[in-house]
Order: sequence, then C-alpha cells, then structure tokens
Amino acid sequence: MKKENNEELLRMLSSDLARLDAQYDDISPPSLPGLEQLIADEALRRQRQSRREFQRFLLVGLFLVSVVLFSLGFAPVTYWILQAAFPVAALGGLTVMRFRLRREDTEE
Amino acid sequence: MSDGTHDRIIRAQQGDASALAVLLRDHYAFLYKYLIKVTMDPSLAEELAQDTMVRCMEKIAAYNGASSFSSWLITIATRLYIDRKRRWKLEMQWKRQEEGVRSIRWRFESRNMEWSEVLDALSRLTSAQRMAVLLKHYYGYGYEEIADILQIPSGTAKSRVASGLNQLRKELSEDEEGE
Repeated sequence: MKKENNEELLRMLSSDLARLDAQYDDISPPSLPGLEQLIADEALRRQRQSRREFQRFLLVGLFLVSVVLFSLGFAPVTYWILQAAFPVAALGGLTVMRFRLRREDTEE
Repeated sequence: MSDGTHDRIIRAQQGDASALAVLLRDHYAFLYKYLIKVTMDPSLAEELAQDTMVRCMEKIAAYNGASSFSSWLITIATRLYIDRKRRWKLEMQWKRQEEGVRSIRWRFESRNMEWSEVLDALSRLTSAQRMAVLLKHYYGYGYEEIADILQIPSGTAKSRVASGLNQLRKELSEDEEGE
C-alpha cells in the first residue's frame, strides 16, 4: 500500500516538475557576444587579482626578510635564541602529547 | 556527452573563449531550470546561473570529465546556493522564498495553467530536502552522486530524500483533509 502511495507521489512529482520546467522553455540564453565579453572581463579581473595578490605576497615577504636581517644585525643573540626556541617548544609539545596519549592508553 | 560538447570542453580548457561561450550558452537553459526547481525563486536562479557560469570560467581547466558536464555544472550551482544560504539570515530567506514561489505561481496563472499542490508542498520543504528529492527522483542521480554534489555522507543523502518524501506526503494529506 505504502509502495503504491510512493509510486503515485513520485509520478505526480515528476509530472508537476516537468510542467514547471515547461513554464521556462521560452527562456533565452545569454547571447554569444555577451558571454564572450563576460569571459574576457572575468579573465581580466582574475589577471588583475592575481597580480595584486603577488604584489601583496612580495611585500609581506620583503617585510619578513627585513625583520629577520634587522634582528640578525642588531640583536643576534635574541635572534638565535628565538630560532632555537620555536623548534624546541614544538618538539616539547609533541613529546608531552605523546606521553599523555600513552598514559591514557595504559589507563584504559 | 556528445562529441561536439567534448570537443568544445577541450578547446575551452586550452583557452578558446568562443568555445567556452558556446558551451555555456548550450547548457544555460538546463542550468537555469535546475536552479528554478531547487530555489523556487526565478530571480535567485538567474543570479546563481550567472555566478555558476563565472565559476565555470575559472575552473574549466580543472574539469576532468569524471561526470558529465551538466552534472559538473549542477554540482557548482548547488554549492554556490548552499554557500549563499549560509550567509543569509533565516527571516530574509523565508521572505525571499515566499516571493519566489509567488512569482512562479503568477507565471502559471498568467498562462491559464493550474498551480499544483505538489509544487506548493515541494516549495515548503527545506532546501536541503528539496535538493535531495529533486536530484534523486527528477534527475535520477544515485545516493553516492547526490552525496558528492551536496558534500554530505551518502547515508545523510538517503535520509534527506526519505524525510523529504515523507514531508511531501504529510503536506499533501493535510491539504486533502483541509479541503
């Protein structure tokens, strides 16, 4: 009974959706010159955007390199301490996490 | 996929703008009609069709032919619609949906055609359910394909189709009882 109901519902759904589709049979797609113009405009926009992003990347890179060189020149000790501190902190964190996981495993 | 379409896709991927334009024009009606049924809002469907075409221009080089070109367009359009819905506030969404359905209804009435209870009930489903029901029972996709298009697990796709159909059945029986 339920199967028949389902089939009836799906039949009605398909036929009404086809009627809905038919309402929009007369839509006109955009013209070819219009689409070609849109493609050209979009390509230009993307080109400009990627150029802007590349410039931003260069500026940030330049800033970081100058900060590194500046600190290396004026405070070499601090620079080398920081250079060593980050990997040590990361390795320490990983080790602690590993020990904690192992302890949880043995407790379970 | 016809040879003409395949040939155009290859030329478009190599940077031929006129091949891409023809490809997009040929698929526009299919895309627009899909979006009408998904959104139940002709003006939103038009906006999304435009956005889909722009996204397609950006991504055409990444199309690998794993699915048909029209399925690829449907996937892009669906994701754009989901993104847009996430950005909307709930009330705005409801208001816009109501306006969209009124506009489709007006199109039926202006052509002396009867607006159906099934379409009315379909418009009241959540868009997640409506998309799943449409993709399964109108476009004939399998649950795995629907899951891929909607970026959800296939079990969720299956349950959305089932709950959508249940909701449709419920709405229709309520309408019948109300008469």
